[in-house]
Amino acid sequence: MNSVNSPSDEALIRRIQEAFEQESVPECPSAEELLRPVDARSAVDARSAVDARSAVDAFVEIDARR
Amino acid sequence: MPEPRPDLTNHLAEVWRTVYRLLGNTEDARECLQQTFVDAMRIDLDTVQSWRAVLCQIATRRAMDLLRKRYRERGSFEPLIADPTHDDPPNAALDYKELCHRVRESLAALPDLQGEAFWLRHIEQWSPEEISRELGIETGHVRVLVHRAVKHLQQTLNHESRELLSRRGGS
Repeated sequence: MNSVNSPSDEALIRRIQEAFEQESVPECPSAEELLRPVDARSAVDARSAVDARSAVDAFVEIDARR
Repeated sequence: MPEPRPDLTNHLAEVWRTVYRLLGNTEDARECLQQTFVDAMRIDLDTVQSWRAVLCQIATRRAMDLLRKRYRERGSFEPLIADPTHDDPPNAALDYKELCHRVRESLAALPDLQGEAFWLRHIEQWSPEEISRELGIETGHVRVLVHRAVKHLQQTLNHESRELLSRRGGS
């Protein structure tokens, strides 16, 4: 299969790239804010938040050892 | 308890940007970011060459899954307003916000890996070799996936744009 882009493909790609570049992205939440349990909206949410918190703690620990 | 490394913040910001741009809303992006870190913990450490790349790839995959779920549940978009310039190619009739919406919708309709490969190649601007390494597929396969995704986007976006122009012409 020929996977070379045509000029119109290239134009579309540029346009898509420009569109996403123009979209404003809110400031990234801090790790603390991001991983805080979300008011325990449900048991599932609360469990997910705890899992995420543990995962990031473990991630930081492993990353620090590397 | 080890101190958090400062570069974790850098990873978070980069991954956040990826998931937010793909999903377009804060709530989904937060959920996706949390899940990305959970997934990252299940990876064999010996296979990791770059945490930045691993996190970005997981985040892209997770966000694609969420996009597919969202559009399966919601159905089609409400049309937005755009300003067509008749001398431009058809897809220029979509303004950038609408174009982002349409691209998300189109990516969600793609088979597994095509959307992911397109996003990593053209939005995150990874090389085919980087994508190949992180997705565990041949570089040639990456090129084919990206090419098919571009063709799909070309077809769907131009179709949407022509319909938009046609509706305006008829009003």
